[in-house]
Amino acid sequence: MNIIGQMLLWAGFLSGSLATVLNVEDDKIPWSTIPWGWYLASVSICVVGIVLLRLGRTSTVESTEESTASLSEIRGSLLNLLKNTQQMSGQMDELAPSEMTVFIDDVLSPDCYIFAEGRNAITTEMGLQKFADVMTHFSAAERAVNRAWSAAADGYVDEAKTCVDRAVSMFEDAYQELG
Amino acid sequence: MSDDKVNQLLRKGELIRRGPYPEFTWPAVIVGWFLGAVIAVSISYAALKLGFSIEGSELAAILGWGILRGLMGRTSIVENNINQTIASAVNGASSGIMFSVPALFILSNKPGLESVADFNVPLMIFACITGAFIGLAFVIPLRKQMIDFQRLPYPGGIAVATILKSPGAGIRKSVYLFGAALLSGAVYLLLSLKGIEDINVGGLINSAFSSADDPAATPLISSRYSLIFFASLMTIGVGFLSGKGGFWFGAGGFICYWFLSPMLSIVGTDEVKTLVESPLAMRGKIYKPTGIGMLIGAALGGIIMAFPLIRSAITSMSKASNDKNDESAHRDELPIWLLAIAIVLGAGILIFLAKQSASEMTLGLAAAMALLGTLWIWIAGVIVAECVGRTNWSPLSGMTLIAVTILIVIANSGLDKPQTIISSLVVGAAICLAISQASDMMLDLKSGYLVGGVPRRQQMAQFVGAWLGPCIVIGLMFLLHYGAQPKTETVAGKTPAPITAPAGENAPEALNPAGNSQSAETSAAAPIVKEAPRAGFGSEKLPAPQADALASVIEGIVEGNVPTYRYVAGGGLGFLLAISGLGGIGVMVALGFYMPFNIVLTYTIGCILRIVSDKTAGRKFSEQVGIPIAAGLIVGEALIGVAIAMQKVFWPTADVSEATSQLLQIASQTLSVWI
Repeated sequence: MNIIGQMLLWAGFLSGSLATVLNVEDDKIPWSTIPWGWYLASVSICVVGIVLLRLGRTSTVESTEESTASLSEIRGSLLNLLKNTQQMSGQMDELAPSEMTVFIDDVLSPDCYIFAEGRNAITTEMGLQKFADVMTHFSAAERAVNRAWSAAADGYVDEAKTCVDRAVSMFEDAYQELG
Repeated sequence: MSDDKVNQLLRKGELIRRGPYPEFTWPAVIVGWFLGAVIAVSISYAALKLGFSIEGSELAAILGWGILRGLMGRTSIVENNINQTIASAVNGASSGIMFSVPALFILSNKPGLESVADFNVPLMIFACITGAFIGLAFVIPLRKQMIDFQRLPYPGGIAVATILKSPGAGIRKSVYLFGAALLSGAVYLLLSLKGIEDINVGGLINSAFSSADDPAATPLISSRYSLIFFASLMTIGVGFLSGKGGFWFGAGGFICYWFLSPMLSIVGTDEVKTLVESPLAMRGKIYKPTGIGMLIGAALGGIIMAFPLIRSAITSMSKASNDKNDESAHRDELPIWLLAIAIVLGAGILIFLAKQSASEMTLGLAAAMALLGTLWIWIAGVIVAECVGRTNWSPLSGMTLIAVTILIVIANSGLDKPQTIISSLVVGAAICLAISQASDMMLDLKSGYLVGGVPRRQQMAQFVGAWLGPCIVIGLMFLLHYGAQPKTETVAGKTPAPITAPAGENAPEALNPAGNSQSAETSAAAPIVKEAPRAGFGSEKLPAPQADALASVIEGIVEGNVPTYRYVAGGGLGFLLAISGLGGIGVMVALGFYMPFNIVLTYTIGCILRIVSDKTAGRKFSEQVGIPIAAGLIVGEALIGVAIAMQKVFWPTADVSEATSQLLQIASQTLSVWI
């Protein structure tokens, strides 16, 4: 259904585009520049394609094997982030600023990327509001990690520690929201 | 951290600083204003002379880095981020105003429209500031949706963040960044000196495979395919940073020039068949209006589709702000209620300004113009923020065009032509500024996200900078326009009240009181008033190409010559793509229709490089090597672009070759120091 939907969507779009650009301009009746019958027929094909795509998506959402796997992957990455920021927070008194930036780049960033790439699984599995709630906490945490990196690079160790502690709290909230 | 540990780290050569981390400080504000003013003057002048405007964030970040760190001994990445936010907010006025306001001066050269240049200047400045504030108030609540949730790439924002972070990113990344910047800047400089803007690959292939025996033979690659690449490493860098997300932008261009044009050459009318052989004319006449319509349709569809997400974002924000566990959460963003007040207040002020802009303006007409203008700011703000977020290009001119069209249609119902034009451009300039500020704000918020800036502080910084730009740029505009006017001189006799010919392209002779032209030979006794060819905006010295184009369009709109049918048809298609559920492709495909194909082609190279790099060398390579290089390509070209603009402002007669060699020398020295 998805493939047929895609084909109809693009066939309708291309045909509609062709109708839109077919003539330069009818000087006498500008609105008759566009062959509206052709255009509306194309739009109708497009609409049918969109309906099929949406129906196809609904049935895909119901078969949750893939999205469940995705969700478990991002849950894993979020748990890693939580553990690693907690570990970093515990070591902040011992880490040199240059070690903090390396830790963030090498240990935290890859999991942030995995989580961000797979984030749409939350919508599929848990709905839009849950997605918004999780992402609100996650993005606040990621921003705190970024700020910790900047502060560490500039040597402001107290600020870096505050930001890492905040990131821990935000990742905890995100993890709790994700369930 | 204990004092012993600090001393131990200091002995190891680590950088340790205690106390609060400087962010929104007076030095950042003052340096931001200063740099913003310098960049705005330079870029405005370039926009008037050459027709292009440049994003100033990269330059502000680099100069801020030099001034704040180098000269003032400041030590904070996020402080420099505030500096570049303010500077780019000041500079945001250059693209907004240069596209709109000079059109009034250009139109004043037309018979019957002389009075349009006599607009109220303080009113215009106030309108621009009001527009800028409304634009910011509308776009700020979208930060969470576009940056936090959708994670739009904002290639320009990544480039700025890479510069800001370079002091702590390690030598290797800095070498990539500055090496690429040097390469890109040098290439751009050489191309500028040679006057090369594009590389006509289709032409090169045709000449390589053409037969010397039969020069009239059909070329291998027809001109309708427009196989011409924009000669810009910056564009490749932007494409790289957009990655696979930029695919649909390219698709829009390919649909136009590699599907529709060939199809039209078969099934089109003779007029269209001729037109497709000239891709530039084809774009101006057909693809661009279709693209504008598609952008609007896609934006409306996108708003409808994104509405549940926006609602969830707002719910989530208020939930987070009520969370007593996190005191700082509610301090991250400017409160929605404050922004709502700013919008209502701004709309009210816009009604007042529209009312004051023309003597015959009624309150009802002013209210209609201001309220529709405010609504359009919201829609256009969403469109532009998304376009810049996905591709780094802003359809500012198209959005302003639609705004002015709507305003003229409203004003034309109750005002005469000059008053219609003045009032429409007063409100139109406000809208243009709003759109320009909206895209700049989102770009800066992205760089802020990447360096860990507090959004609320950046949002306040944007307001702190946004008011200054209109004052500077409109002042500069008057200086240039009236400074370029020729002084009238009398050749003989007493000075009369000069009766001059209407300024046209070539008006070498004065008119006598009867309106007949005369020369010095035929009327020796009478005083002769010599008038130079048209000066100021629209002249050869100050062509203001964007405003000139807008002026032509305004004339067309006033005459009722608008391709509304094409906007509507394009709008329908854009709307359908937006509601297809294929994630933001409507705006991207529409932008591909709208933009010149040479840019699309070069941009696609960057996208392909990123996809290949991610697949073959891995994501880490792309992040560690590719992104600093891509950011450097953007920075280098932007810097040289601004340098060329500055050279034209401050040393207009300087020898370009000499300046070039000096510039290259300085650049190579800088790179050596870095390495």
